[in-house]
Amino acid sequence: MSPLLTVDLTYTWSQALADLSQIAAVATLTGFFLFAIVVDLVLPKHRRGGAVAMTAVTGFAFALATAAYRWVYGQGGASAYHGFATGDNFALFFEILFATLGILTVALSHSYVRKRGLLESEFHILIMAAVIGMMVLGSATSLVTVFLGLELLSIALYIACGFVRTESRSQEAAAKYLLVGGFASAFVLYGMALIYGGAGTTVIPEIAKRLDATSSGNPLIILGIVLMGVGFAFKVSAAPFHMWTPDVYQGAPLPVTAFMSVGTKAAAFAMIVRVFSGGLPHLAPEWQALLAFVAATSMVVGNLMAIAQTSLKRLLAYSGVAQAGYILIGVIAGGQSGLSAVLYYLFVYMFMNFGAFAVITLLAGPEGDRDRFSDLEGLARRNPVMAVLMSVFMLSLAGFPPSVGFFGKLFLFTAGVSAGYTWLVVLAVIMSVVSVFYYVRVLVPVWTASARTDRVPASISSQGVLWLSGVASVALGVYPTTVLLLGQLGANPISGP
Amino acid sequence: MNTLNIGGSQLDASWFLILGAILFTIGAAGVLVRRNPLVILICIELMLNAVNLTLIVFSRQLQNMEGQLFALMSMTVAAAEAVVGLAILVDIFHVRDVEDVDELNEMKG
Repeated sequence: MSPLLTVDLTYTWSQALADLSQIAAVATLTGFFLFAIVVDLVLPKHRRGGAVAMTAVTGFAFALATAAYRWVYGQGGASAYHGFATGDNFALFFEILFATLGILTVALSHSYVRKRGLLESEFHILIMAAVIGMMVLGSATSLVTVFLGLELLSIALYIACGFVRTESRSQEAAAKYLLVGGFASAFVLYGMALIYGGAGTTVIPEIAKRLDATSSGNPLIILGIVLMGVGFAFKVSAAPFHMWTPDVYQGAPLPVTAFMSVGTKAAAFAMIVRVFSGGLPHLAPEWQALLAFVAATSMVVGNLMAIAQTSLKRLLAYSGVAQAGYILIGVIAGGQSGLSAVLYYLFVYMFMNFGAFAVITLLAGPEGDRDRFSDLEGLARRNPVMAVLMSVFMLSLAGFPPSVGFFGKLFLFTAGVSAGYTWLVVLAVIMSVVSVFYYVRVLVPVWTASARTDRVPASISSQGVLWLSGVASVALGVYPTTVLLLGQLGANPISGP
Repeated sequence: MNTLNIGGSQLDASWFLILGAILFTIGAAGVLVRRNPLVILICIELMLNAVNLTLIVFSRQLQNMEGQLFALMSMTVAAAEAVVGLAILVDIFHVRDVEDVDELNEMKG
């Protein structure tokens, strides 16, 4: 029996260190993740929560610093672990994004988890696990590592969605997310298996070299692209595969919803860009057609369904479906301008969407989340700062200048037009106009006079989250150059169509 | 390398790919048709195993170990997913008896 493959088994320490340094941010956070589990085991019950929260924030801060250091001193770029992972600027960009998101989530959830009497340490540990999965997705350059990152992120979030075990809605959200997510993962995996069969490798840059335009005649490859596209659309919650989104967002505890709405979307877009733009550039016409259909449906369905919602969580869920449609335009357009617009939008979307959810999170009481429109009544008097910031987030999501939402859409749409997808951009602009209606409708109860005078308390860490998100939502719009430049550098490693 | 030697007899590799596709389709159809959450979970496992078979056949066909590596990883992931899935379902069954996923309708999508 001949060996299937002659493997070079020499693996020196210097090679191991070089490989590890490429995924330094992921490794750092994993270290803190394990440490957090130990902290949770050894400390007495009443001190666990705060200690694990501190560990989590420190871990995210170190991961952020590691990624930023590697970005500034230009150590990234090489492929590690036989081409299975990399620390290029694209990976670093997402590592910075997810580490920031992790800090925001822990800071926001600390008081929420206490108020509702949930297990705090487990909550933060799950968030850390999900962030590690997202970072793996950012730095994965093989279909194997992409799948691993996707599942690490999804499995941690299945548990987080059902975290309020006494509430049947939370359990229902967990069950729905699990069944739909598992189904979508199976599609992604089968698609990846077919691409592997057609290309003969799982390493994404190698796939790009081996498949050319003539591969579009290969049924394995085409079926693989379609199956992966369907699975990816599930994960970014793009229509017509979005049915789970409103239910899961509504049932999950609010900080988890806030985290998911931004994190899974950014991670799934990192995956789409890596696999489609980076791995299948010569088959662009095939997946562009598929994604254009998904983008158009998402924008129409998301925006029209959002109008009829009475729950703020569901409204933001449908708004997320619509936003996924806008971002897909940038992926379809591709190239330097398209991909940098995608990265810019994902980065600023984090602040505006997370901020909007943060405001609703602070309304929650010990008995559960309060996400009716009436819960926002008189917010202008009950907590003026929150009212102003909520207006900033909503107007930014709607795309009013000079907010980040306006510039994000501007970059995406110009990239779309210059790539020749004018019909898609026209549809997007019409749908953005529709979206103004429901975003502004949220602000009506905030600013109309009301008899309610009960204050909305906010802990110091939550106030920090609100201020950071609010300031970023305006400042990065007034002065978009820095993030856009970072986005361009981040998009560089992807060859793209 | 389009034939695989199974127990001394030569079989065309495409038969195994077709078997994988059939198993995957049965699993997918099961998820869409069956209503019991446990059975849906089993169908998802069937889909993942169909993919594992496909991966291993490709791995043999291409004389390339990555497919086997991928299959091992996906088995691990499937095990983790099954554990979490069963835990979530047991948690729900503690509170109420769900024989039909349509009963999970407190929120309407």
